[in-house]
Amino acid sequence: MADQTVRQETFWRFSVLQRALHLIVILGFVGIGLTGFSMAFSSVAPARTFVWFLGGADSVRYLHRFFAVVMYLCVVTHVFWLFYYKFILGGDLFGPNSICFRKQDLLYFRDHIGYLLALRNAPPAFDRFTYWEKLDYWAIFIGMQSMSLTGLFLWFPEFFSRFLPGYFINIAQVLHFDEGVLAVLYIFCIHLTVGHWRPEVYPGDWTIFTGKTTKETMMKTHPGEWASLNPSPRGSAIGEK
Amino acid sequence: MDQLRVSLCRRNTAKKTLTLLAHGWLIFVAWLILLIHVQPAWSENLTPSSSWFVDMNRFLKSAHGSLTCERCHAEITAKGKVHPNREDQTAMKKDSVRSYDYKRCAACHPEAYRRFLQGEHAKALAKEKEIQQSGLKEATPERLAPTCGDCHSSHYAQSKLSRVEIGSQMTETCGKCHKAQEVSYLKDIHGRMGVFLEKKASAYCTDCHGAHTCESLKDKQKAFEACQRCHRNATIQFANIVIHAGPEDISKKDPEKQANMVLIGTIKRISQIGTIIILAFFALQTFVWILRELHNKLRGR
Repeated sequence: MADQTVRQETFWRFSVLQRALHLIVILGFVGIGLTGFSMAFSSVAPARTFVWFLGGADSVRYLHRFFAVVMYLCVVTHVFWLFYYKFILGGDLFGPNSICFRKQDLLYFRDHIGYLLALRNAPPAFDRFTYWEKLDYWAIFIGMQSMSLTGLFLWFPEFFSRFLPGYFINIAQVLHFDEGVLAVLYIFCIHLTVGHWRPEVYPGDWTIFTGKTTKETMMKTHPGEWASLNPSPRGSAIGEK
Repeated sequence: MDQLRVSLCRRNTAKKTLTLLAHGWLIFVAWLILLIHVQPAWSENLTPSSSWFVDMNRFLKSAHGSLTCERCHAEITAKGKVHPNREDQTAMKKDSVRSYDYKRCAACHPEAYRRFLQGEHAKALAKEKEIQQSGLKEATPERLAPTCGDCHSSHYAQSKLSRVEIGSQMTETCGKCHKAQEVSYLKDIHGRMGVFLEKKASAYCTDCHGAHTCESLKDKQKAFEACQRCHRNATIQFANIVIHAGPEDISKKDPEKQANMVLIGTIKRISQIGTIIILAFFALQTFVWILRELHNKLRGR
């Protein structure tokens, strides 16, 4: 435990917009998951009780679509943010500070798996975003596109069956359900464990909520970014990349 | 002194936890008792079929409760009619539903009876009689085609049920013979919304297949007309949405639907396998990850 009397050097990792969007996505995701599964598993009594609690089938359908629109607005905001990052801030979309995947991430992934299997002594020197953070981000980002498409099919079946065969609605049902299961299990089991509950970060990584991180964590989990912020004349302290 | 205070504090916490736990158990037990007492009310059998014996208490509460016996069973007051001999071995052994002449229902329910005669069930019944009379086939079909009494309980059916109650009972009644259709309907959005979530705007069996006509909707035009009753903006392709997307035996007679079902099934399998592979990979990685970091922590690194 770090000594509380010494003022920790803090770094800003997430802007207000990013933190707010994460919070909204949390609320939207929990809402959409609960309402969606309570409809999909309505043959089970607790799901029916939950639907009754929310005011019946109609209001659950309404809430599901409301949360869907909220979630998709978040995606749209992120697209605008990418444009802002590229053209106004002049950021490099495939640079080390970007959320986009680069070739380097494949090497990081290989090295990290090597670290997990005890073939290496230390995790690789990650940049601003680790590969699993990028994976979580893009899984939601791309997953939202297909979920929205299949969701729109189920929302407006009359419209889509005008120019597509009717059984496409059935396919949309199958994919919407399976991807819902995948997304919910991925976020609640894997994202939460990796992001918050694994021994290194237990009991939680509050950076995404406070936006701040300490020098210690920066050096430990994002040594690449740390090194780029503190170019040392005598070379990097964490060795070669 | 300090030690004493700490131990006291600890005991208090422990006691608090125990009390809390006890309350938790109380709540749990209360729920259990409630459920045990409420459960029989839920599982009450609502529509037993007719038999030779009538439970007058339930009959008087039913839709026909105000009618006298001879309104429907006129023959019991006929001259020279004697009560069946109770000592006779064959008395009351005949199926009561099969031996009643349901033409008499038409006296009060002419529209329903007319529609029944137009429908698929009446056709199946006529075919069955033909076979029996010709005596060509000894073997009777597994299930007999239904008459009024097979679906409606003439003595106990309740009146003034809500649309949702009628719909749920209907699903069970039709499902006695059309099991696969019942199962696939309850998986479909109409069944989940109508029966489980009690949304009365949803469609129940007869809303699509017609009350008493009980048509098959293999004909796309016919199915389309059924869809249009609720989905006003639907086009003919809308009727190609598979509602009874269940086991293969439903679509056996419809090659187009069967082909679509195969496609849907293939996509379902691929997406399920994909989901499992992705989740299994990351679950395994996370598990190894935790082990590795625990190892580091325990080694004090």
